[in-house]
Amino acid sequence: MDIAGNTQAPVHALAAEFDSARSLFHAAEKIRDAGFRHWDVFSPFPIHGMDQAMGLKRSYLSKIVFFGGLTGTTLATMVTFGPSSFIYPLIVMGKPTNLFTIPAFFPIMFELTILLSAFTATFGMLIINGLPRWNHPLFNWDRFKKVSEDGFFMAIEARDPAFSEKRTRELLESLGATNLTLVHED
Amino acid sequence: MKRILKHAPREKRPKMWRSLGELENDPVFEGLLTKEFPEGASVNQDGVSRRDFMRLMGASAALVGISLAGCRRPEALLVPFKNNNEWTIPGKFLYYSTAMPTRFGVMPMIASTVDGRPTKLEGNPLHPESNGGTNGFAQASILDLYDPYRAKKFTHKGQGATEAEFTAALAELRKAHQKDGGAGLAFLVDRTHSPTRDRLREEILKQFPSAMWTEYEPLGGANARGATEASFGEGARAIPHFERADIILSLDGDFLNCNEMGVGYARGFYPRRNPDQTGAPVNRLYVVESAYTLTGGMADHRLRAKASAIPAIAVAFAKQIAAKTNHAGLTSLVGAYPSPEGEVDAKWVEECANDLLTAKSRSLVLTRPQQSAALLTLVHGINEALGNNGTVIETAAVPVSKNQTTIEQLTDVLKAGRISTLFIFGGNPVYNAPADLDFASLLDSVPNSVRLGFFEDETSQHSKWNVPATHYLESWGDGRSFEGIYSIIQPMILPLYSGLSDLDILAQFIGLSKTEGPEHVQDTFRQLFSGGDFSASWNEALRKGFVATSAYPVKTPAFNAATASAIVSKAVPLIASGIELVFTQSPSVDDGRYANNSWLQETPDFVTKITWDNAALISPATAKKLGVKTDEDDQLSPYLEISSNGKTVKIPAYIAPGQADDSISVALGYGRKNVSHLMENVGFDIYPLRRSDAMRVLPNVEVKNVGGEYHFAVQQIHANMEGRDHAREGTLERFKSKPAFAKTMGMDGEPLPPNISLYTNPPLTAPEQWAMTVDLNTCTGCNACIVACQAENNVPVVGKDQVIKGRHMGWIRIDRYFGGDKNDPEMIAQAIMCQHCENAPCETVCPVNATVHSEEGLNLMAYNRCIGTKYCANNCPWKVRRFNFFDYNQRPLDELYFGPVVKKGMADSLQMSKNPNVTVRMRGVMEKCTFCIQRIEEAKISHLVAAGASSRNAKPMEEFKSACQQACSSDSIVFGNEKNPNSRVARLRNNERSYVTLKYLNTRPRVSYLARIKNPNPRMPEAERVGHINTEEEHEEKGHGETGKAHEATNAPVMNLNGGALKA
Amino acid sequence: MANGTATLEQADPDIKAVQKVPLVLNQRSMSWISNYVSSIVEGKTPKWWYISISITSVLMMMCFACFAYLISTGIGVWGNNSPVFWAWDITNFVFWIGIGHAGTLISAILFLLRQRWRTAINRAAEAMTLFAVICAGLYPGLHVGRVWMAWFLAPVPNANGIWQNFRSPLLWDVFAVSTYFTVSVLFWYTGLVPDLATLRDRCKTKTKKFIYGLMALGWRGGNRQWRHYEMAYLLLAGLSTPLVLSVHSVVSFDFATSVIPGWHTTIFPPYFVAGAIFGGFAMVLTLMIPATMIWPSLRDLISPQHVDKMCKVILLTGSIVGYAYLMELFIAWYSGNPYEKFAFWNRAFGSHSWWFYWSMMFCNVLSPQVFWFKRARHNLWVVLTVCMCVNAGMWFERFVIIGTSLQRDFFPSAWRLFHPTWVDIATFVGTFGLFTTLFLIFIRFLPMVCMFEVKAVLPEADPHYGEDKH
Repeated sequence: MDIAGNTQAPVHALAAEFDSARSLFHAAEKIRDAGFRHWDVFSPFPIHGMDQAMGLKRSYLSKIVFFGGLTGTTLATMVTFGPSSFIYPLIVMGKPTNLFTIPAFFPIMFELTILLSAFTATFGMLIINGLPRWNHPLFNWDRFKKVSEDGFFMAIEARDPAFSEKRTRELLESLGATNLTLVHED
Repeated sequence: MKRILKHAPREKRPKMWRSLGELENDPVFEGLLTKEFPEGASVNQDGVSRRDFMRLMGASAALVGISLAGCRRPEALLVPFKNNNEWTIPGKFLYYSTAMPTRFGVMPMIASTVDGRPTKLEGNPLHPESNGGTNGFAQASILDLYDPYRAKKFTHKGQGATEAEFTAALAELRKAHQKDGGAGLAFLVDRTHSPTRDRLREEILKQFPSAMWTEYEPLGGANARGATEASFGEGARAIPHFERADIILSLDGDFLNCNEMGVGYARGFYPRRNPDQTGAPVNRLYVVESAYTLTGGMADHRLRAKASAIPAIAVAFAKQIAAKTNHAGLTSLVGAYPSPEGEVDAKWVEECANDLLTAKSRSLVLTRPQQSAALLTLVHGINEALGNNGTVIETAAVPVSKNQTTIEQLTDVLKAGRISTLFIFGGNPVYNAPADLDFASLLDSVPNSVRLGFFEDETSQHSKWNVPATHYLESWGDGRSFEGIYSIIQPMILPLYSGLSDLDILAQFIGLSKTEGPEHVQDTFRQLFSGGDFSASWNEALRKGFVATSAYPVKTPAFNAATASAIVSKAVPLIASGIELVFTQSPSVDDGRYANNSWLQETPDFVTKITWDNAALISPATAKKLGVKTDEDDQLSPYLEISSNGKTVKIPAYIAPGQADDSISVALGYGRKNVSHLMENVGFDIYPLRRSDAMRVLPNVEVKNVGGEYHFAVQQIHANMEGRDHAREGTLERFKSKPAFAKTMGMDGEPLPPNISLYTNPPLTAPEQWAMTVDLNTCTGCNACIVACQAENNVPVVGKDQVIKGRHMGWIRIDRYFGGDKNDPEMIAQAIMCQHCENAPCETVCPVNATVHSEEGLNLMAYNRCIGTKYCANNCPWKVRRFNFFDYNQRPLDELYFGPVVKKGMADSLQMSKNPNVTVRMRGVMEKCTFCIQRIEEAKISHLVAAGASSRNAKPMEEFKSACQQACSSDSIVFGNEKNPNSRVARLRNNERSYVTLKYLNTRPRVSYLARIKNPNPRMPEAERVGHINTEEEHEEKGHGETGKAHEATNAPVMNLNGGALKA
Repeated sequence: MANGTATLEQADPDIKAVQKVPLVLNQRSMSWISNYVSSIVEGKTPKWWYISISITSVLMMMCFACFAYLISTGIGVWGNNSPVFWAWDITNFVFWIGIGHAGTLISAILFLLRQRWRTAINRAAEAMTLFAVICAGLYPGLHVGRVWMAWFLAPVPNANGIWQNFRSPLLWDVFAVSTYFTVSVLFWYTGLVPDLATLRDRCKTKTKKFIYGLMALGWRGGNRQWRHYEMAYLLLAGLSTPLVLSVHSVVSFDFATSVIPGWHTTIFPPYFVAGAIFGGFAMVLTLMIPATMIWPSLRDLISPQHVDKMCKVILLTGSIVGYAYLMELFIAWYSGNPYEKFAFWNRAFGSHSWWFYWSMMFCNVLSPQVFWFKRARHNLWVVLTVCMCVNAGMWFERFVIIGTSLQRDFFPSAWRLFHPTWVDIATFVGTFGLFTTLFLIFIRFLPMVCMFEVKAVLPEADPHYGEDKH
């Protein structure tokens, strides 16, 4: 069995390659049922239905973004009404400075809501995914480069309580995995 | 402040700080402070030094100067304020009375000075012949004072010289001519109506009996003098009283043009024009003229006629009236008049004559002073027959000036070579003398020619000695108004550059010493008003600006038919056939004297709205005949070659509606070369065609259309209102039946109901709510307000190229619309400035709050906040916002496009001319009319000061005027606080005639207009056309589509959408 | 091919509805897609690229030079005058911002509508969007009289504590356009990350590896990442959809909220948005068709059916725009407001302005009608010609709205025509230089087709590929 990375360092995970999205998908279902927790599958594109196959729940990013948007709206309300009605009210085209002037402020409220939501969505996603990240043990494994082209991989991390170098390898082999590799930390 | 001392260093300049030091513990001065007038003023007559005089007068100035009335400008104040003078408040204006010499008499003026420099001129409202109004020339004359192109140095035969050398040379000449008794001595001067100059002239003619004295004005009224004297005896001057005239007939006269006739006539005419007046009926004005004038624009009935046909028409009138009054005198005149040619609209003349006869001794017939003596005399005869002489017309006895010669007589003598010394004061004969006299070469032949000139102009280039002339605000002088009221011209500032006045030279020539002070004028004053306390009356005259009792004695005119018919019989008949050329006064440069005044150059012509140019004005019909095609949108025109006996002038044509067919009018005073950079390539010189026998009209000229494309800089391209009723008028009878007709005209009645706003506008709470009304009934469009605004608000000049691009900066513009038949349309003028809408569309679109509203209803413009998005200007329906596309203040007009590669900066003297209370705007910011907010604030501050501890509403704010209102001689513009129900503006805003433009937008403008009322005579031909410039009845059915098509169809500048409907 | 379709239909019957032929032709494999798309980036720089970028960058420099002249000398170097205070500057702004709508629209709205064919073109379209918005942003930024004071537009008080006027459509613009640009960048970059990972994993030299590695943010393609990634992408799409509609609506408010006849129209927001999509799609095709000519194999990814679908969108939006034109005329007549009537009469027949109006009518309303015919939609040259027409037509439309309305508004006395100066023209031409330069740089250094999304629409990408239904 191949070994990747610095053999002195502790084992990071046991990684294996599958030949297609389909086989990876079914393998994932088995692993899920086997009760593993710290594992992941890698593919060049998001595979339809893989979340269920891995037993993952819906992403909670949307909830964060909601609050991001809310902040935007509040900010806009303050920045428009604050100066126009309280800090420095001016007579402009004989328009009132009370609540009736709100239609004029809708565009700005809307734009700021969108802006802050978008920021939260993008950067929230990166943070949840622990990105940007310069390196990762899996990158020590040359075959893993194919993941961004047409490779389908699975890695079961050593820290997983159910992880046992021997049994896990057998399990993966039984699922049709090839190129099983022990990936070490660096 | 240092910049102020631009004038040459002067010996014995008063040291103010020292004098003040003296003054502080000077018992005399203590006394002065308690008295209104320092005895010193009289004391100084007993040989007290000049400086003491100044000091004492300075003290009295301190006592009286702050008020409107002023005293002699104390020289002490001309010293930079190293140590401030306790009586001047920095930044606060001091007002002094002075006067401006013009060819029709002096105009009484109030000069505002700040920190020792005059910045603004206003008319003197106390003067019986003025109502505080001014004309454009008077307003712009302040710029002449600071003109960097002024003549600055003495020169002799082109070499620089000193004043001392000149004084020596003058003494030489004096010696020389004392020998020959003045045989070889001649003076050629412009008209100033200065008693002091007359006194000195008499002195000279005493010392040099055979000297010649010639007055020449290219647009002067020498004929009028002759005619009046022939009709009413020696020294008579006919003085019309418009306030007494019900019916007025003007035969090619432009008496409402304040540039030509001064503001005097307005005072009488306009009150009688007002339909709201009680008692007297609204007057009716008939005008016969060849080209549209301001008077023609006001006329109830206007007859287009060639200028060469005016005599024929006058005779036709005379015949009618003589027949119906069988007045012997007039009959004899008609008999004596050699039968003139020219087509006459008999029906028009007959009906008009009948109308005049209905108002015997309450009517007035007049014509242009430049007309032939015969015609002028005939007109006097007509008035005599109508019984107007003595009722509407009075004659004043003007002191007769003996042994004066005409320029023709002078040139004869020059040709004979009998003149060795020729003094030329002012004027510019080489440029503007009749071409047939060939003055230039004659002048070259004179061995000693002395020219006192304000510029180094054409005449200077042909003179041996050149003396820079002082501006009238730089030297003492005096003058009489048209009716003879005496005013003192007191200087406001030391000469910026070394210079002399005509009085200085004359005085020195008769052996008097040159004086800094008013001595010569005072001598005259003493002579004229002997008796009484001299200093008291002198100071009184200075304070008020005139001597009330000094008007010429008025007597009832006694018409002398015999002498009159003698003149009449000498009439030279004009050829009425063929195309005629009429020489007109330019509303911008007069006879050429203001050619270097950029304010005036950029002020549009009244009728054509052309700036920086004159043009050969022709009627649409004549244009067709000559094959002249113009591009309306880009104002491109072909050239005409106008030639008459050997001389040819090439000048671009411009199609002017209302022009008589086969008549070309060209404004004088343009096309001056090699004088200053500013005058180059501005307009075309028509003087070469002007002959001493054809000073007004040159009949039967050859005209050739030589093609080419000339680009005019026209401020208003589209002359047709497109049925939009911005300027509204109606007939008197319509007004009587429905006084508020204007309120529901066009879109304000059907079809458009006013918009209703979604929310209630927050009320404007300030105690003052500023508003303005413009009375179209009296606004002729004379441009005085435009120039006044320019002077008051530091409005920059942009130059011809930028005007072509549509970037002129004027805060107030005068829209001129034509309506009716495109050959013979009606004209209406409308002054448009920022409307200060309560719901201003410009405000809401500004992203940076640079333009917002004040609690007083002003639409404010914060220059330092403006970033120049130009959005406000787009959204202004009146298009009154002006954008600084370039750094107009900082860059020469011909280097605007060079950007940073050329150095910027404003001439020092021009910086002095700016109003210190108004920001000079920079490139990239928007600007517009502020309702003269600086004046508003000044008034508010002084109101608060006056109120002191007591509540500020204890007594009402003192009345003050906006700059345009103050300049308006016809009192069309009224500005004030509409919240005060007794204010004029409040009353006029509630007048039935008042309406606001674009009411349906619901912007609630603070400027409202009063509709114009015409008073047509129903029996006149085409009377039904009068007073229907709006034609709103038609345009409701007619959509704009058709109208536009009509407007595309032809490329004449005037298309009335409903013209067809009107004619049919 | 045939069996490809067959299996696909078995696999997922509801796909059948949307597509007859597979999106990727010739049964290209995943690795072929990576290899081919990346090869454009990795291969040796072609000669034509050097030639064209040297031309375009000269034009770009010309644009910058003109702006330098403008700022140093004054707005007067343009032809703007009174009453036409806004002329080519704002016309070009609206023109470019309109083009800048296609990208986000394709990636966002079509994404939400599950239009899988978008995957081949969204990357290039989004890039185009960004570059168009950059060109657009130059104008409002630099057309102000005092550029050095433009920071007054930022929502901070000035020295006197005066704030902005938040009621001004121009300030809405500032917020809308900057938001739109920022969000588009985020959206675009998010989409790029997995493909950057591909490039990172493929490239040989250290420097390239470093740069692409940096840009790929350490993407691994683990499903635990994909899960949030997809959510983020969905959210961004969901946010961009109203945004893209709002931006041009806000731009149209600049005119709609004014009082000028011809501007003061409630129809503007939908009308402008439709116009933007219309012009944007045309511009996408104008760029992609030459690309498929340069790299013929791209036609396997950007296939005739893509072009066909986009032509249909152009036809639809073009007809909406045409409807808007007619509706404007109708309302002008129906309103009974003579000012409105005249404004529109003047557009169509007024001296000097009719020319723009009728070119607009031809380019925007008539020329797209050929897309009713399949043969026209499938002839690249016809498509290209029509797209060129539409690009020009959209510029005319903006000038007709802005220029001719201002030239003749309420007061005939203030009427005046607008004439562009050489600076106006050079600046506008220059912005095309800027646009194409940026686009050339993009296709040279970044994958112009979204590889991972294309892979995802391949039949074998389906986890149940080749299985019987269960």
